[in-house]
Amino acid sequence: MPKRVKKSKREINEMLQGYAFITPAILVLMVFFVISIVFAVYLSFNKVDLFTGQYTWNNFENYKNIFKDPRSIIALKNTAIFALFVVPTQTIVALVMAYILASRDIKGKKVFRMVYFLPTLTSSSALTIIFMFLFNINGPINHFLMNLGLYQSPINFLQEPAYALKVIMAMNIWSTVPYFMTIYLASLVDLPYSLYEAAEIDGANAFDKLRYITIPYLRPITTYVLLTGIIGTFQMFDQAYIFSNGSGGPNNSTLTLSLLIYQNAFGQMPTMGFAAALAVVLSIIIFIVSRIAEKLNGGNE
Amino acid sequence: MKNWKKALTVGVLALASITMVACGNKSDNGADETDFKGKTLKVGVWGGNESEEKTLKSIVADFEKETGATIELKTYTDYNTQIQTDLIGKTAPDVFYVDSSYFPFLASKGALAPLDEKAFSSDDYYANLTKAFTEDGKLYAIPKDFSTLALYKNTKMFEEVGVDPESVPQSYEELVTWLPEFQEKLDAKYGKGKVKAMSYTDELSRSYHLAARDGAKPIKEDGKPDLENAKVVDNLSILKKLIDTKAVATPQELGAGWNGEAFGTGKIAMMDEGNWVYQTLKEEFSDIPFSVSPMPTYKDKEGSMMFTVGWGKYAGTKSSALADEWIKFATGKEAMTKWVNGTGTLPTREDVATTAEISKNEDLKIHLNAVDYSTVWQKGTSLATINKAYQNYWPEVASGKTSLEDAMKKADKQAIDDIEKAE
Repeated sequence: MPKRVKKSKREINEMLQGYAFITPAILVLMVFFVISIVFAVYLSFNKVDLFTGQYTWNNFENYKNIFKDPRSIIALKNTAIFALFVVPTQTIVALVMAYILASRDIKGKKVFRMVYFLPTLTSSSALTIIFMFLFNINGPINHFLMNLGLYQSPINFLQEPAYALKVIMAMNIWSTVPYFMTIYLASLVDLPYSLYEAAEIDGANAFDKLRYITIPYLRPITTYVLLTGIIGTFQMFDQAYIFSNGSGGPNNSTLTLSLLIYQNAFGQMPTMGFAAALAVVLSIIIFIVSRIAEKLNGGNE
Repeated sequence: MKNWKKALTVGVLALASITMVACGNKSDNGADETDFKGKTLKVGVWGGNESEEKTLKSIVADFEKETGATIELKTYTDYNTQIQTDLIGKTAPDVFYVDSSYFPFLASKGALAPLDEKAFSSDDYYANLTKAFTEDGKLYAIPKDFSTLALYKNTKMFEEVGVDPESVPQSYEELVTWLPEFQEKLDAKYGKGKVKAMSYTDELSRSYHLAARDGAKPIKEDGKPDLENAKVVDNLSILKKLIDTKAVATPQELGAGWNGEAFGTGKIAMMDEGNWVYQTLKEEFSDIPFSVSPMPTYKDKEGSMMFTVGWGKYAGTKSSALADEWIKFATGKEAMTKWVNGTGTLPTREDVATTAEISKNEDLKIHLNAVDYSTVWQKGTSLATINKAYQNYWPEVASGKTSLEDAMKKADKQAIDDIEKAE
């Protein structure tokens, strides 16, 4: 059993200095994270008017409203569909692209990597505008598909509820894949090439190598990609906001939870409490979904 | 070694504590000040186009020269959101832009200080504009400029298809029957689907004057929406009829951000737009010749929308007298003349309307004359909520998926849900 040694003066001094150095960071964290989060939770149980500083406890009314309000159910559904489709797609595409670009036989890899990375550098609001141009009723996508003979009269992608969210999905996948691809690539650089060579001797083809070497090797990275992907998609806001001019339309088809939170928090109605309740629910959902994804991927092994 | 470490520790701690110290509150709001030399006034505006920014800077410079005070401009990018947080955090500028549609909200929160009508000689301004900033008989902001909608025509396009711009019918009802033929000519000249005869903006802020025609009330006195009212639906049906001609579309459907861009890039032959587009067309799309005429009549009545912005004084200001001074200066004859000449907006004072360059500009005069019959975009605090619901369901109406009546019912329900949730 180690004997408790009384700390020397020098050690105490060092300890104090250590605390002194982290004080600014702790203060910032306290103000901008801890206190804000606690305050948001507090808000979610009250009817709030921030202007007058009036907080009235309203017996979980905000939380009850979430289930009574048809729009929050729609928003929840939209967000879930969005995440369910976007996260797996972007992860798989990013992984396959990284695998291909990491292979030794591809010429001009650097150029590809750079070109693929460009969408990530562009701001998502600018991308939204570009996509709205591409997909508008007289836009290039409609022309292209019509020239292929897929359909005769142009589809109004932007104002048809059936398509609006899908356009945003496509854009989101297109712009986030390169980022995740780069993360995968960074890890693949460390993968010993001898593993592939050994597999080739055993008669493995490209798919086998991906399936049995690359994917298992990248599992921890996949966990990270999945988590950031889930968090990012559940918090999707800017694209939907620009797309629908803040309304969540057409017919609520682009209404996401974050957009609904924004509408309630900064509208002219005193519904900050409801917005806070939605935010709390959203973070619980993100937490649960992330844990499930982590478990499924075996990230804790 | 030890000493400098200690010094550093103390330094860091001191720095941390300084950031925590709040400034002491002064109860004096500076209402009795007369000498402004060396004083600072915070002024909140939203970013406009280039000409607006330039003109504002020039007016600021004039003011600083005259009073010796310093103006600190704060430019908002997302005004409605940012001013809220500033007001809640009690860090709002002393004087800031107040949009007419946002005014009821700010007034209901007590964010604005009442202004003395006599001291600001409120009679110099158009009465329906000062009315937009009056609540319970008290004036809260001085209108600085306003805009109205008018019909813009691309005259080159009309010439190319051989139609006289003057022959465009002057009522919405006639337009419905006139547009298809015009659209055919446009299709024949530019190719099918390349150019639309007319564009519209699918917001209640643009169609409210139509919806409210013949004494209809799209929004009830208590702030609840009544878009499903038979009269309102009948009024709005004209928009649906226009869309059904296939000659009318939103700028977004044409791949443009707003009417001005669609017009400037030659995607539409006509649009209804506010005079803020005037300067943009002159400067950015100078190759497009255009003419301006009043909005078409509907149900035998003239009508248009009017948007006005005023200067309001923050209720918690510490330099009240200087704030008054700035508002008086910026809305005074001299500064307003400079403002409207520089920006192409409309003056809120009749004396400026007769002396500024606008009196010689036939196009802008059409916008100015609309002041007599236009509806101010303002109606209680539920306006934004109702507009949002309207925008949400309008595309379904446009595409024909939902009947106008059903869509308005849905919009009403959404808005009522939102309003009731807040109660």
